[in-house]
Amino acid sequence: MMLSKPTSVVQSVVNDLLAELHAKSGCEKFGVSHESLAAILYEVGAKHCPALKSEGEVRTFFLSLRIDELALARACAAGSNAAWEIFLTRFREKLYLSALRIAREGSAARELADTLYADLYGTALRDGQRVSKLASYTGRGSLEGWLRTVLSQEYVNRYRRTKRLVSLEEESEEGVQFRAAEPEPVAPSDNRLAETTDEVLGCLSSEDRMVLNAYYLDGRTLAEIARMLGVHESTISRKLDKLAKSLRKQIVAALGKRGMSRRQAEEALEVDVRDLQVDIRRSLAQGSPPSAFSEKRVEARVREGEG
Amino acid sequence: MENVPKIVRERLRVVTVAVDHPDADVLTAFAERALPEAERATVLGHLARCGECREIVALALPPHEAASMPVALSRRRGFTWPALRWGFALAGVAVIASLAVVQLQRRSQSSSPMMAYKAAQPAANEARNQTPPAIPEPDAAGNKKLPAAFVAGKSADTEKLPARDSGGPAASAVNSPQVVGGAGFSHGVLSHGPKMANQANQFQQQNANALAGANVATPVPPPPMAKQEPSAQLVANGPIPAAPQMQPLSARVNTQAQNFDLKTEAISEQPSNYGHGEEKVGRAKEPPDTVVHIEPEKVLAGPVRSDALAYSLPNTRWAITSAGGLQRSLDQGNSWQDVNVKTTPAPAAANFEVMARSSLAKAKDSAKADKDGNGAMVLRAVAANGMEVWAGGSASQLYHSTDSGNHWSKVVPSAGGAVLTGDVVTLDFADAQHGKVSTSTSEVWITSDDGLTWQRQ
Repeated sequence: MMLSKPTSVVQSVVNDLLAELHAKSGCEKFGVSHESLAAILYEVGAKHCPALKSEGEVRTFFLSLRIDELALARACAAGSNAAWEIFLTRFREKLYLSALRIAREGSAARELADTLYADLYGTALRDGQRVSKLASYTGRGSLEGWLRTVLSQEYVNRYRRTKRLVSLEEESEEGVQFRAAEPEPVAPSDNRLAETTDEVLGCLSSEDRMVLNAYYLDGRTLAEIARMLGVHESTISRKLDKLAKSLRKQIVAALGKRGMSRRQAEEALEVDVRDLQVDIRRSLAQGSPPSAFSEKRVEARVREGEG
Repeated sequence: MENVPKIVRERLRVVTVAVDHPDADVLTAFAERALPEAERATVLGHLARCGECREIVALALPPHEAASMPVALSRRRGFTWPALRWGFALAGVAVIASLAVVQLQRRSQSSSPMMAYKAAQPAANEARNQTPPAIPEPDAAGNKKLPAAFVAGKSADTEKLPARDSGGPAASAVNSPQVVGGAGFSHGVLSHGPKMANQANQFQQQNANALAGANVATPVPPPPMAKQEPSAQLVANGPIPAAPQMQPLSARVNTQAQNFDLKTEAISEQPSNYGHGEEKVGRAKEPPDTVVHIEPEKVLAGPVRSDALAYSLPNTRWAITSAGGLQRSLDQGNSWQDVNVKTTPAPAAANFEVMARSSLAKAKDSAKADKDGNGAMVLRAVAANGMEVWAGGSASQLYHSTDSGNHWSKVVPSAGGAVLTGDVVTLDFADAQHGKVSTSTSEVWITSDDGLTWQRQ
């Protein structure tokens, strides 16, 4: 059934499911009333349900929410001591372990976790009110997974904030003073290979492109990519192999349409990209967001992938 | 895994700026596969271009899956098609190999009796050829032989024999008056195997051999197939040497291995509507006919006494089991068959009879024989010299066969009014004519004419 007003649909569905969801969430333990829960659900629906057009989809969306954890998080955000007691009992240890796994160093992990705890409790004030990060949890995934994601975001943001700050000693250790002068950028004489490659890459599906980026740019292992996509490791391996063959074939065919013979196209693909007149630096500076980790690490992973 | 061209890697870095990052809730739901397909595709498109969000998703992966997922995958991997394919192939090879082994074992088991049967087959055919056809003519002893058709008909009707036994005389008077009630005839044992048409052929072949009598030089082996082998008895008038004395009218052979009972009765007690009264009287005074019962071929049962082994023909061996049973091997000891020896008075009217009975009838006769008090025959010694075979045992029982065990006659050594007493313990025959019999009562009897006359030492 097509509805013109999704908000009204959300309201009707929430009102319809409120009793069931309230009983399922166990809100009474934290002092969350029906009205408070309805307000939370309205907010969640307004954020995520505009794309949902039918009442059935909205109903399915609300029924798929982690309503108990949503109630716990919102109760914590509201300052319920009972909710915080439960939250710390359930997630304190896991939060530190996740931080340690992400930061890979004890002190950094503890600092990361403590920072997150502060955000979760709500030390920052907005309009005179304490703002808790838990208020942004909408129950679409598990609360534990959400905490890991928030930890990861905090870790990446912190790295991004600090990576540009390099001490003079560290720069001298890295041999910045011996770096060769960068050559003047030369206008590419033949952009056919780069243009063709961009065209072929533009035709890839999102999943294929994500797999290629994760493997060749991020240096993720097959197992990590498989876990990100929820498939088997061998599936990713077959996909990468198939993509490599397909890309080569499509690029050669596209170069042929641009006036290159097959032999020339094959030779162009084998040429080291450093020899190409492609302004990679300019492209990266324009389009690519800053990497979460050092470029050295990414390059090392790329070399491993080449090897 | 094939690598993509280097230009592809370089161009992958040239991405559009992704500004609208999904929030932590959506990324968590994506990693937990909790998003609808449309929303998942949207997030996937963002992740394809945003290295930062890919990094966040990768860092936020749950740690426990690293341990649990490979285990689950390895379990699944064991039942995937490549593993099952080899498993099926190995299972097929194993089944074929086991079938081949079973076939080889069956062939090895059936080869020895088949060889013995084939070796004896020419002799049987020769005997059949020598046998006069269905013309009942008096033989040398003056007895009449049944027509071959009559014998064959009786053989084919063996399945009806138990009913005849339980039925009245009227039911059996037409075809086999000798069979009724088992009077005057040795009762055989019907095997539990099928009674088929070739069973009648076997009977007919044995009958032909019996008709041939002593002219058959080669011993006729039992039918090789145990399932098709009926427990039949042949009653024939063979050229038995004249016994000095009539044997007991009733005897019983009970072997421990088979619990097989035979019962014979006097000629005069059996009804006969075939033949003449004079023949009855005459036959009653004649030496008893021989009865041969050859059990289905089987492995030698029980331990064999070392002093109870005898060798007559090159491939024939004799043995006495610990239970007192007589066994014969036609293949140099590879396989053994029970041989039950018993003297039986010949029927007055019919000198040739084939009889097979059911195991139920056999059991009844066995119980009846036990009730009569006849002790079980226990053989203790056997001696063989060419075709001549002697076997002796408990209760002064001494049996003689001149055709390598196909036909037997009971012999009671006597001299001057004294008869052999005690159990026969040793038999010593240097040749076909001269032999010595020792008993448990320290008697020693000597014969110099193949058992026709005896002297007591």
